[in-house]
Amino acid sequence: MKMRSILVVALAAAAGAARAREPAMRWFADRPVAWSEHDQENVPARPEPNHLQDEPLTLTIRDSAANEADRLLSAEGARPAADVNAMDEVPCSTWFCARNHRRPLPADEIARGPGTPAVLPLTVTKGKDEGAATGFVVVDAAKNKFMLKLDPPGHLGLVTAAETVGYRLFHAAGYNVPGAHLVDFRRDQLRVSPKATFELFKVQKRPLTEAQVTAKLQGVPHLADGRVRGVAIPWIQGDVLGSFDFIGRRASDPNDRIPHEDRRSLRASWVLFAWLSVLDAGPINTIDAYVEQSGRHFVRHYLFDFSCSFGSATDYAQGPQHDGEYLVEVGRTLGSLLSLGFYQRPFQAESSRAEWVRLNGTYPSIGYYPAESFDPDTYRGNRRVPAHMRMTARDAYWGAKIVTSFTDEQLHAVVAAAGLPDRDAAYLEHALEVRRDIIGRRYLRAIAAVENPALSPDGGLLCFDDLAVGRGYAGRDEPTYLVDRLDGDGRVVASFEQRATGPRACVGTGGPDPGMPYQVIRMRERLRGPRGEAIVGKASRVHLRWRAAERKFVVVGLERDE
Amino acid sequence: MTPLALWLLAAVAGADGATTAPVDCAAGEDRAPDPRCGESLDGRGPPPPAPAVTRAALAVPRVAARVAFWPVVHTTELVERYQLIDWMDAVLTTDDGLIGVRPIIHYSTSFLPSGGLRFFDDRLPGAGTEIAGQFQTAGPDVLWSELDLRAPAWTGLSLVATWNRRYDRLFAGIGPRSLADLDAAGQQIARYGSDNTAAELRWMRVAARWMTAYAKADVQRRDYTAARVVGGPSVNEVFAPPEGCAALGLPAGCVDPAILPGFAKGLRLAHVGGTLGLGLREPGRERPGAVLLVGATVAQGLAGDPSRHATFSGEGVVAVGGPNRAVIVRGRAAMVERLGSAPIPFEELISPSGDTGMRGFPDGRFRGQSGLVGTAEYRWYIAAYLDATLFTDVGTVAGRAFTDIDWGRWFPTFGLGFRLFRTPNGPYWAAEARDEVQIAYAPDNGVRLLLTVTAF
Repeated sequence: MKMRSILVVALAAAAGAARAREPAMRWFADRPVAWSEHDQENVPARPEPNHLQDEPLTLTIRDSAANEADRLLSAEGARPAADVNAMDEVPCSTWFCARNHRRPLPADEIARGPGTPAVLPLTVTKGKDEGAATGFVVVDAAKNKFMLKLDPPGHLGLVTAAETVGYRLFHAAGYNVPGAHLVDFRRDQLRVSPKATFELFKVQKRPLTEAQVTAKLQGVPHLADGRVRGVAIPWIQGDVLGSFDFIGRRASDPNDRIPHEDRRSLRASWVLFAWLSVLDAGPINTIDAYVEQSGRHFVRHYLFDFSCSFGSATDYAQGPQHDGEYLVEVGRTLGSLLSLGFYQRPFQAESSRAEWVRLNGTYPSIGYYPAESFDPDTYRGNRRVPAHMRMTARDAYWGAKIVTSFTDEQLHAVVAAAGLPDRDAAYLEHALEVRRDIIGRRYLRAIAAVENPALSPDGGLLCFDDLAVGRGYAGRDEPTYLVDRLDGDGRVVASFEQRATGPRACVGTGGPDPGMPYQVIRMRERLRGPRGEAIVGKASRVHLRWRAAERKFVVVGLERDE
Repeated sequence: MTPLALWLLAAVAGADGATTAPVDCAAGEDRAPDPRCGESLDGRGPPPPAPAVTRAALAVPRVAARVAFWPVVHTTELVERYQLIDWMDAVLTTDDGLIGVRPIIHYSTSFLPSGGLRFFDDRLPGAGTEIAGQFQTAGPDVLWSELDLRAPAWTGLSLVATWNRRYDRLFAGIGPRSLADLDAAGQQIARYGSDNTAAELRWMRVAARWMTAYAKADVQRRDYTAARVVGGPSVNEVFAPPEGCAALGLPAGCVDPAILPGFAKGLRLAHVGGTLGLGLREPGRERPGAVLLVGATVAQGLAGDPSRHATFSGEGVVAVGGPNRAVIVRGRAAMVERLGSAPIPFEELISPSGDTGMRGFPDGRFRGQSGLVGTAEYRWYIAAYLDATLFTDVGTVAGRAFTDIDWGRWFPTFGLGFRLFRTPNGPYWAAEARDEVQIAYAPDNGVRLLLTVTAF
C-alpha cells in the first residue's frame, strides 16, 4: 500500500512536470519592443554589500549540492528567461547591453577593448591577496589604479593573454568588464610604495618590500629583452558591494527585479565561458559596484577575472579534467564508484591525455585548449552555477548568436592584442574559430534560427533571416521549414513544408484574415544529421496581431521552444 | 523568525522579498513594456508556474533536502567568512612560510585514536634541508614523537629520532594462530606497553633511473611493561609462564620468556642494513611499472643484550593500467635468522599484519620467524580528487626460513578504500594522494577502519 502511494505521488509529480514543459499560448501585446530594462533608477541608499567573493567553497557546496537538489525538487522545468523582450532579445541593462551581435563592431574597436592602458612607471601599493595569480595592486603614472597580473613560471602569456582576450570578447558581446591591457615593464619601472602592504595568509597585514617584489618577479617568465609581461586591469569605479550571485536578487537594490537565475544574459554567459574554456565562472569572479552616473546612483554588474581562460588555471596549466568535470559531481562519482571505474568521463579517454600532452608541449602560452575535439555537451567549468543550470535551448541559441557574431577578422584582431608568440597566437585564433563554429552548429541548428521576422506589405508572406544558413552552419538549401499556422488559441489551422533558398526566407501566412486577429506562425527546421538522417529541431514562433486601424497584421513577438 | 525558517518557508511559497521602486506608469500600451510598472519585458506576464500538485508532491523532500544541506552550507560559510583556515595557517606558520606546525589525526581499529601536530622548519641552508617533527598522543597511554633531520638532498642523509610510548600494543602469540587456535589454547589477544627510543641514520642514493640504494643504521632501546595496558587483557594474564614467575627467578606479573623473549629485560639493539630498489614506477596517480626491493639488516645487542640476528626481506610490486584504472599486485617476504645463541626478541620477529600489510589485522597480530603477505589492489578514478580501491591481502607467518610454513593456513583480508588527492594542479594523473580511509574485513578478525587525515 505504501509503495503504491509513493508510486501515485511520483507519477503525479512526473505528469505535472511534463505539463509544465508544454509551451503555453501567451499573447504578445501590440506595443513597442522594450530595449531598455530601466534598471538605472536612482537608489539613494547604498545597497548592502556581500562577501560571496571570499566564499568559493561555500558556493561550490551550495550550488553543486544544495541548490541543485532544490532546483530538481522544485520541478521548475525549463523556465523561460525573464530579461527577454518581445523579439527574443535581451534589452540593455546594468547587466548587459548588446554590442557585436546587434551592431557589428569594427575589429580594431574590439581589439582596443574597454578601459585605459596603464602608463609606466607603476607603483605597487598593495600585494594581490585574493585569487591565485601572482600580481600586485598598482598605480600608474597617470594616478590610475590597476590590478597587475603576471604569468606563472614556464608559461609566458598563459594568464596575460587569457585576460586580454577574455575581457575584449566579453565586452564586445555586451557584458560589463573593467578591461585588460598588456604592460611590459623593466624592474625599475615597477616601484614599491613605502606604504605598500600585503596580507600574509590573507589575514595578517605586513609591509611589502622591494625585496619581496623582486623575489616575486624572479619567479615569473620574462620577455626576451628581460622585461616582465604583465596585464593591467583597471580598478572598477564606484563603491564595490562584493559580488553578484547567480541566483536570487540583491534585496536591498530596488532596481534588481529579475531573479538572477532567470536572466538570459547570465544563463547564456555559459556559452561564452565554454567557448573560451573559462574554468571558474561564478559569483567569485563578479563585482557589483554602486556607481554614480548623471546624478543617479545605481548598481552596475561586472564580470571580471578571465585568467582561467583557454588552458590556464591561473597559476598552472589546466588538466583535461578542468573543463570536463565539476568539483562536486555526485552522480558521476557514484557512477564511477559503482561501475568500478568502467563508467568514464570523456576527458578520461586516452585521446584527451595525448591531446593534453601535445597542446601543453606545443603551445605553452595557451595550454590545453582543444579545438576540433571541443564538445559543448561535455564541457564543464569547475562548479555548477545556478543561472547556467537553468539555461534552456532558447537561451543557448541566443548565446550562440553572440559567439558566432565574431568574425575571423575580429578574432584575429583580438588575438593580436594578446602579444603571444606567433605559433601560439595562430593556434589560439584557430581554436577560437573552430570552437565558435562548433557552438554555431550545436545551438543554431537546434532551434529554427528565425531572426528579424517581417511581413510583406500585403501580409501574405512572413520573411525572416535564417541565422544558421546566414552564418554558414546550415547549407543554403539544407533546411526544410515545417510551418504551422496557429490561431490565437494555439490550434493548428494550416501546415506546410518549404525548402530554404538562402539566408533570407519567406513563408506564406495565408493572407490577412481579420476574422482571426491573432495568429502564430510556428516554424521548425528539418536538417541533415551527422549520418545523413533527418533531424527536426525546436520551434520558433512568430506572433502576428491584427492592427485594426491600419487594417493589417503586424509582427508583435518572436519566441522559441525552451 | 530564523534565517533557516524563512528559507524553508520560501521553499514552499517561492517568495524572496525583493522590493521595487515607485514609478509613473500612466503611458499605458503606447510605450514599451517596463519592469518599473511591474511588467515583464516581453509584455506578456510571467509564464504559468509548475502545477500545484507537483509542488505539493515534492515539498516534503525539498524541505528535507534544505534541512539536510543547511548546516553544511552555513558551517562552511562560517569557516570562510571568518577565514578560520587562513587564521590557522597564519597562527601556525611563520611569515616566510618555512616554519610551521600542522594538525594530524590517525585512527586504526584495535588501537587508540591519536592526534597531534606535525612540525617543519625549512629555513636551513641547502636544497632539501629540513627539520621536521611529529608529536601524536591519545593521552598518557599513547605518546609518540619523532624528529627528522634531513641534510641537503645531494647527501641523501637523514637522521630520525623517535620516542614512542604505547600501552595498547598487541600480542597474540607466535605463529599463524587463528582466534579459534587461541581460544582452544585458552588464550586471547593480549596487550602490553612499551617505551621505545630510537635514533636512525638513513641514506638514499638514486644510482640510476631504475636503481635506488638505501642504507640505514640505528640504535634502539625498548622497555616493556605488562603492568599498565589498555584495550584488553595484559600479556602477563594470557601468556604467563606455566611454571610460575618465581620458578624462573622473575618478579610477579612476568610473562613467559619462551613466548616473549626479550620482554623482561627490554631491548638494547643496534641495526645496520641496506636495501636495493630496482625497477621503475613513476610517482603520481595509478602509474604503471614494476619495482623490486631486496634488503638485509643485521641486529646486534648492546649493553648486555645478547641479541644477534639478521633480517632479510624482498618485495615486488607490479602495477598495470593507467590513471583511470589500475591493478597493483604486491608480494612481500621477510625472515629473521638468529646469528648467535640468544633467542630472537619477540618484537624483532616478522609481523606482516597491520596498516601496510594484512590490513584486516592490527599490528602485531601475527608474529613469526618468517612471513609472507600478498596484496592485490584494484584502484579506479571516481573524482579528480578521489579514487577508490578494492583490495585483498593474504598473509601468514611461519618458522625459520619458511621451512614449516603451513600452506593451508592463510589469513585473508578484503577491503575498500578511498584516497583523497591534493587538488590536482594540472592533469589529474599527476596528483599526489594525501589522506586515506580504508575499511578492511578479515574473516578471522572482523571489520577495521583505518584513517589518516592531515590538515592543510
